[in-house]
Amino acid sequence: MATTPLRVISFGFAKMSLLDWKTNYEGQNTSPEQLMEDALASKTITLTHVGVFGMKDPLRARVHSCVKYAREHAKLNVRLVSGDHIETAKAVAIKTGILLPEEAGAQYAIMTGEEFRNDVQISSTKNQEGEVVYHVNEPDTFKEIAQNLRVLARATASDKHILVAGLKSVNNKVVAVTGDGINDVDALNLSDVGISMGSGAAAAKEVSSIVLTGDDFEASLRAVMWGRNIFHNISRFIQFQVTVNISVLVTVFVGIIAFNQSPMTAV
Amino acid sequence: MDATTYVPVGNSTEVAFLKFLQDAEIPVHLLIQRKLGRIRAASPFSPERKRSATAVESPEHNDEVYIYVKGAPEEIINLSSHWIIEEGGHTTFEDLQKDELLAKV
Repeated sequence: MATTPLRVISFGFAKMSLLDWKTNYEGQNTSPEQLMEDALASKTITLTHVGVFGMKDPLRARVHSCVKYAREHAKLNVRLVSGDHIETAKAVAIKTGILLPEEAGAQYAIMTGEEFRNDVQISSTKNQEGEVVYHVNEPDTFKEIAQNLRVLARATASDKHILVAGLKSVNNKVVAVTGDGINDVDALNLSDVGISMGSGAAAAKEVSSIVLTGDDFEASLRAVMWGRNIFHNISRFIQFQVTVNISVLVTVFVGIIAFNQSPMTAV
Repeated sequence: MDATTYVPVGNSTEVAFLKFLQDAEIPVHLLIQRKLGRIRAASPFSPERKRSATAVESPEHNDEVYIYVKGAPEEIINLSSHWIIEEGGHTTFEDLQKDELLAKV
């Protein structure tokens, strides 16, 4: 199902008596939520599997042409970082053109968060403010991965954070992150340009630089275009100013030497 | 409250499920109302655990607590000991059947 691509979700349930619940999970030092999670993880509570559901998460119509334009004309390297199943992520990437079918076999083109974490050897420390800081212990491997990576599936919030941090520090890239969930907050915050969806989580919108009200990927391309346009205009303007000033300088200098006065005087 | 006036909001995945039930003419709003005040514990979805779980005191049987878990198939299947079969009812979930089901996912 995941290859279709559908978002697959399973449901399960367990039953116990109220008495059992009250004695084992409530009124203790640890919260009922934590006790419940621990019991599930240790299989003290086993579930009855209800079923697997696949949901279609349709792509927006113009995404494919936008990605194509971004890759071929705007020289943007578009990557897909997703919490989804690896097959789902791969199918979506191929459908959107983020991953070309011929790239699919390349080393590091498709990775899961776990592989990524193991390969780049992440370590984390806490700084004085108590924030967690991640370090990439294998910068050479990271460089190689960053060059080829197109799809990162089953990625956690920290994987996204590490990828952005690494691209910025190890590869010296300008990084834009598009996201809408709580998971993306860290990465959005760290990126040079954070783009969030209008329909997304409030926390994500809070930390991002641009909020797309129409949830339209094309708009982020337009933002890149206008940003580059301003930059281009400034550099053109400076070029113009420098050229004019140098010509005037030369004219005045030559004038003073040849005619003993500036040729630019009004009187 | 009429079913047509209830519009689910929130996480798009969950909204999709609620809308799916509404399309099947299941009175979602009444079911949601029934669980109000009966939730004993709710642990939100975490990408590390790949599942979310809620413990609800059963609205039908006063002395029972149901724990509902929703998440990635590989995770839920791994935690399951039983499964619901097509003929109805539930039986033991063997490893072989787990692998077969996972291969289809």
